[in-house]
Amino acid sequence: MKRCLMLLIIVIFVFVGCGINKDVSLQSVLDSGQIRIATSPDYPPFEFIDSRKSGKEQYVGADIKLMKFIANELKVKLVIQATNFDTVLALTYDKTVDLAISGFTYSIDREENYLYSDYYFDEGEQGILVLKSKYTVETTFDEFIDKLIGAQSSTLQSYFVTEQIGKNSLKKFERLADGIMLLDNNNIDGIALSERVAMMIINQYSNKYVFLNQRFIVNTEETRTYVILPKESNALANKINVIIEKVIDERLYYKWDDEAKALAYELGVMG
Amino acid sequence: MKKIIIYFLISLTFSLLTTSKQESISNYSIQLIEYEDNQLFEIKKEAKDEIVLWIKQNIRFNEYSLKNQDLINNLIIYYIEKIDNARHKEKVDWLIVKVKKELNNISSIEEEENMDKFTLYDRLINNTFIGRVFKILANNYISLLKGLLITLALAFIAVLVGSILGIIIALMRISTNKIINRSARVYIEIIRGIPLLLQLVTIYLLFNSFLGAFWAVATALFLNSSAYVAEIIRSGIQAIDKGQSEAARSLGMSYRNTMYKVILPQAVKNILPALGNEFVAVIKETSLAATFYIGDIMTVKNNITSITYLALEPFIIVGSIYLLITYGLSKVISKFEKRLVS
Repeated sequence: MKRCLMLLIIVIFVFVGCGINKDVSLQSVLDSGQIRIATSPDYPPFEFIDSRKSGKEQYVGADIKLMKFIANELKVKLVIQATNFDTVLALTYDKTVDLAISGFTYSIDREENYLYSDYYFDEGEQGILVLKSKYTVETTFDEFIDKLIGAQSSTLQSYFVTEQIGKNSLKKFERLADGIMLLDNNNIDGIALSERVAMMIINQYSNKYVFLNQRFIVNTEETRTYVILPKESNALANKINVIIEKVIDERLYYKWDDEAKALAYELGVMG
Repeated sequence: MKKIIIYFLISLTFSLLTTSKQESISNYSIQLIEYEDNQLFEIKKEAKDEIVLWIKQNIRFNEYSLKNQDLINNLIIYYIEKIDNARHKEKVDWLIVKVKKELNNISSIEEEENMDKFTLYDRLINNTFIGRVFKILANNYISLLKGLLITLALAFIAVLVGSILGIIIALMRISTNKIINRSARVYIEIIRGIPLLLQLVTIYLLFNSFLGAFWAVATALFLNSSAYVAEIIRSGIQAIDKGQSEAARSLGMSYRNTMYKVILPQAVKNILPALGNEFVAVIKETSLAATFYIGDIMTVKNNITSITYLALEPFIIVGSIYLLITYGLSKVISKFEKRLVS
């Protein structure tokens, strides 16, 4: 009797297992009436927190607008899961969330474990932010060969520093604010950043920093940002691609980006 | 936005250049033939390129203060016309120097205007460390207080539920049944041996979908706290002299009665102060919960840091709040201790 029961249970598990293997990503989103999106809201103007508001409303930024647009198009409720960057990846891998939008750029290692959508934005030019009192805008990268350049760990910029300036020039840090503290205290000579983020900082502290004229040599594919999904959710990915195509056609993201920048500037100046 | 404006401006100047070049070709081609001075034409072209490059490098177009944009545009148009009309190399050189000077004046006027806008008070606030600390404190005190409330709630839930669980585990730990004893011991060793952050992440991943972020974090914290509380209670009970229980037993009291009437009342004196310290420790440990943006005081600190790009100032504020709370609590606990002793 017991053995029969065990067999039955095993058979049921096998069948359930087969059921899971089918791609139900899109259907489950539509059936449950909500789409769960993970993000790490500490990177203005992509995504950040407006502490004057509370609850779901407090998450603001261009990526958040994109999430709202996606939820609107699918006619489902949006549930935002805010965690730190590493946990965003873990949640996506786990399929605890349906997808993640957090300013992800392309990397081969990530491609193995996650599904990439089409790109929705191009971060643009990448360069170095330095102290105005120490360098002029004409300074070239050659002068930094025997100096330290900071970059956020495991980002595109850290890769550029090791590849295009020098293997020993890279100083990693966790948050952008930490890097700026290092720069202020002369522990490093520059921070590798995308131009748009650098301009956010320069707008807030105009007399302190400058962005060098020379730029890193990049492929356009490297600086593009993508939505990432768990593996085996091709149905949802296809649907997301259709929505992203619409976003690109109507140039919506640039509008959101401008609004997010203005808001981030307002919050930052306010303190 | 800024990028778009800069590109717009550059493309505008370039388009100006190209149109003026065409004009110059049509209007002054006769003159050029007359002077046979192709060199001058090249020089003019280079001069215009130089000006465009110089503008790109030296003038910072601030997205939020574009008052002087028209002025700069007009200047560029005026001087490019002049360069086109110039007949000597020296004149072109002189015009370049002049346009740079004028443009410099404009940007320095802009900077002076900006400096004038700031009063001495503003300058003190924005340019000193303490000033920035007070500015952040003044602008964010509401969200900081909200965060503090969530931190305290989290610590309270963790210690309360942790204590109840801890008592059960401590009783299991001192029981004579081998299986119960062992399992309690394994539980305590596992919880105490793994860093809290790992426990937080694991339990968040497991329970987040049906408990929500706050309760998932609270679960992780009270599970962690329960192991420590269990050890506190066990050591509190075992610290009572064995003679006490032997005496009670020899007087004919049952095990239950011995525990409730003799051992536990004495053990409470040992346990309560240590429990208070555990509460203080848990308040500090809740800072790890900021990984999941549940709105506690450390989350508020992270938000301020990410928006203002200031790392140290928010740390000072949040650190002193933690210090105030824990210092106040340990004062209260020491008063309790004195009362227990007397």
